[in-house]
Amino acid sequence: MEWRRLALAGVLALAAAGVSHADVVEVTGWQVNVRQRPSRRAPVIVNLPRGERFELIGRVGAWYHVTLPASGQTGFVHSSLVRVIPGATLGTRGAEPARPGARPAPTSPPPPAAEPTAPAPVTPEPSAPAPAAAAPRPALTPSPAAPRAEVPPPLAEPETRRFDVGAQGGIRWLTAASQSAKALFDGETSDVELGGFVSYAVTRNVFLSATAQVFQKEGERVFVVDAEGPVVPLGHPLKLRLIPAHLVVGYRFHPWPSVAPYLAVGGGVTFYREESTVGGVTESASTTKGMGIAQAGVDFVKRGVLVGVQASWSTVPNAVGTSGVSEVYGENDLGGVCVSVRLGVTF
Amino acid sequence: MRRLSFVVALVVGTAFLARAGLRAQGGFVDPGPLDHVPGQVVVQFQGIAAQRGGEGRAEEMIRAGGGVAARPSGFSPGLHLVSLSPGDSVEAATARFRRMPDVAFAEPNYVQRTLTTPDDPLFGQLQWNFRMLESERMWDIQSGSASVIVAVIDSGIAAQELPALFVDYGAFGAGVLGPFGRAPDWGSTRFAPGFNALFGQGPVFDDNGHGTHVASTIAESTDNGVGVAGLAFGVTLMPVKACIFNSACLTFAQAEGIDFAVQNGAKVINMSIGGAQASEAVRLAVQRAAQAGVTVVAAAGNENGSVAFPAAFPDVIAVGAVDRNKRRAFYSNFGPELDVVAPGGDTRVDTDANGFVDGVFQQTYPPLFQAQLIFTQFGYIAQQGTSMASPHVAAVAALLISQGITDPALVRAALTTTAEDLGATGFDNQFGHGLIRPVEALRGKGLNF
Repeated sequence: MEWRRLALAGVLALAAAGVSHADVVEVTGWQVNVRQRPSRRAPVIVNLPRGERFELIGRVGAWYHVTLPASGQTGFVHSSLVRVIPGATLGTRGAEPARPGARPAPTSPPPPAAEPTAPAPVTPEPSAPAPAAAAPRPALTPSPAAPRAEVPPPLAEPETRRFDVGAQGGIRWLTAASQSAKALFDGETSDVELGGFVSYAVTRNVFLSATAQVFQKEGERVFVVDAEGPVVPLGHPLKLRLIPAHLVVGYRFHPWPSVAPYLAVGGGVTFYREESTVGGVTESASTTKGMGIAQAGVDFVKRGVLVGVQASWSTVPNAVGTSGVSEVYGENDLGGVCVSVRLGVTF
Repeated sequence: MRRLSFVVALVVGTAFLARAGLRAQGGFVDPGPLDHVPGQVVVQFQGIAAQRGGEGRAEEMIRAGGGVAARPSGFSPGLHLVSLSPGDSVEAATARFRRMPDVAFAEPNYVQRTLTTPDDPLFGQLQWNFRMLESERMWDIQSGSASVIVAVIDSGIAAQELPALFVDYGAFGAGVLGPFGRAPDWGSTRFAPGFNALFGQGPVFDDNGHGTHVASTIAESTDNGVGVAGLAFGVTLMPVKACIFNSACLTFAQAEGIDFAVQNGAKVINMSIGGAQASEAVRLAVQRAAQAGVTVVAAAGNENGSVAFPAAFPDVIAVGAVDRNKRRAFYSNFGPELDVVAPGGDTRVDTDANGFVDGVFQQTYPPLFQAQLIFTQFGYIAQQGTSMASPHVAAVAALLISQGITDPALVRAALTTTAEDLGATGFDNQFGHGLIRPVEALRGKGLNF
C-alpha cells in the first residue's frame, strides 16, 4: 500500500506546483530579508524573523512576491527561506520561540503531503550580508513600490509528463537459449522485435510502464545428437514467436529538462509458440510463462514527443528445455537482451 | 546341355577360376555348410609386394606360400585371392602365409550366408512391416533422393534381362545359369552400374533371389499400381554380387564389393549376409567405407545366438529382427553389438488371421522356381530373417541421408536416439536401442518438440 500513498502524494504535489494568490508564505529561515526586487542585490525593505507570514502574490524565478502584512507594501523573498502554506491564515505563527534547526509544524492542518514542493532548508539567504541576529528590528519603512509581478509560469520546470504512449522496435537476442537458437536459426540468435508501451508517471521520478512486444524468427528443424555434436538442418520450416508482456516500475532522473534516463524492473508473462511443418503436416507447441525484466534507457521529450532508446534484460525460466534442441543443450530460459528505439507522445 | 545351344555362353571369372573349375559342366553343387571355400586363401601383403611395381615380389611370395594362381584385388593394394594346388589344405596354407614376412594377414575365403529363412511362397500385399514404421507418413516427409545410392551386397538384383550365362563357381560347381528376367515391380526404380564382386567383372545377375527381395524392401517401386512398396523408393540401387545361387557369400567378394561401392558413389551399403567368422579383409573394407562417409548396415543373423559378422564390426549398424508384435523374432541374434531392430517377420504364424503369414513380402523368385534355377518367374514372396530387417534400416539410412544427415556416425545416432525402446529400458542386448522410428528420425528437433 506504500506505493499508493506515494502515488497520491506525488499527484497532489504536482497539482500544487502552480501557486495561487490565496496562499501564504511563512519564513523558515533564521532572519530573512524582504527585498524590493527579485535579486540579491536589491535593497532590503525589511528583515523578518522565522515564523512571520505574508500573503503570496506570485513568483518570479526563485523569488516569491509577497505582501507585507503590516504595511501592505510588497517585496520579494527568496523561496529557499520560506515555505508556502496553501490556504493558511496570515499573522505570525504563535508566540513560541523559534528553535534553531527545528522545522515548524504548520498551524493549520495542511492538505495531505502538500509539503514536498517547498523544501525548507534552514539556510541563510545566499551571500546576503548576514544580518545580526541581535540587530534591532527595523521599522517597516515604505519603499518604492515594486512592480506587481503577474503570476508567471514556473521557469525551467520539466515538461508536464503524465502519460507516455508509443511504439517501440528493436533487436532481441535470445541469449539464454543461444545454442538452441543458433542451431535452429542458422547460427543467429537475434531478430526484430516490435511492440508498444504505455507509461504513467506516478511522481516526477517514479513511473509505471506496460509493454507488449512480438518477436518472430524463422528457421528449420535440425538433427543434433548432443550438445557437442554437429547441427544438421533438415529443411522442415520452423517458426518461433515470443510475445513478452510486462509491467515495470521505474525511476526517472532529470539531469536536464528534456532528457530523462531511467531504470526499471518488473515482471509479466511471455507467450511462446513454436510451429513447424514436416512433410505437409504442421505441428505446434505453445505455452505462457512468467518472466522478469530489467530495463535501462533514456527518453528525450520535447513538445510532447518522446524519442527514446532502451536496453532490457529478461528471463523466462522453465519455458523450454523438456524436448527438442533446448533439451539437448540444457537451455530452459527464453529470456534475452533487447535493444529498442521508442517513439511516442506524452501528455 | 541342350540349353547351351540356345544361349549365349558367357565365360565369367578369372583365368584362375577357369582353371580351378570346369569340373561338372552344368553341375552346380551345394556342398552343404562350408566354412570356407576349399583351395582358396585371402592374403594381404604389405611392403614392396603391396606397392605398384611389386607384382613380381607378390607373385614370388604367393608361390612360396603354395599358391598356384591369384586374383589381385581391384581395390585394395596387396590383397590377393590365392588359389592353392589341389590337395593343399587351406588351414596349412593360411598358417604358411601368416608366418611369412610382409604378410599383414592371411585368412580363408570364408563362406557366409544370406540371412533369410526361406518359406512357402505366398502372394500378398500385406506390408505390416511398413505400417509398423509409419511408412505413409514417412513418405510424406522423405521418399529418397535419386542421388543417394544404396549398394546391396548380396546375390545380385534381378534388375535386367540377361541371356543364359556360363558360370564357374569353382568349388560350388560350374555351368549355365539363366536366362534372367527383370522383376516386374521396378517401375521407376533407378539403378546405378553394379559390380560382380565374385569375379571382379561381368554382368550382375541374381541366381538366388535373396538380393532381389532385399533390394525390393529398399526401393521396390511404390505408388505405381504394381505389387508392393519399397521403403525408400526414390533412391538409386547398386547391385553388387558377392553371393551365389546357394546363398553362399564369399568374404573376398564382400570386401571387393564394399570397396567398389565406396569408390562408385554409394552412400549406404546393405549386407543382409553374414557368418560367425570375422574376415579381416571385410573388416578393413568396412572401416574404409566408414572413413569415406558410407553407412554400412548388416543383418545380425538368424541363429538366435550372438551377432554375426560383418554386423558385429564396430563400423557396421547391426540390425536384429522383430515380429509383427514387436517381440524379438525367434531367430534374431542378439548381443552388445546389436544397434537397432526392424521388422523381420515370422512366417510360422499369421497372428491377424488374414490368410497370410507374418513374413516380409517383396518381389523375387518363388522358391519352387528358384530351387530349379529358373530366374524368369517372379512373385511377392513372404520371407523372414534379419536379412529382411536390415534393408528396412538401410532404406531409412538412405532417407536420412536424403534429408541431410550424411555422416555415418550421425546416421547411426539418428537411428538409435529416435528408436522406440523395446525390452529392458534403454539399450539392451535383445533389441539394441530398439525399433527404428523413421518418422521421428526424419522429423528432427525444433526448439522444444
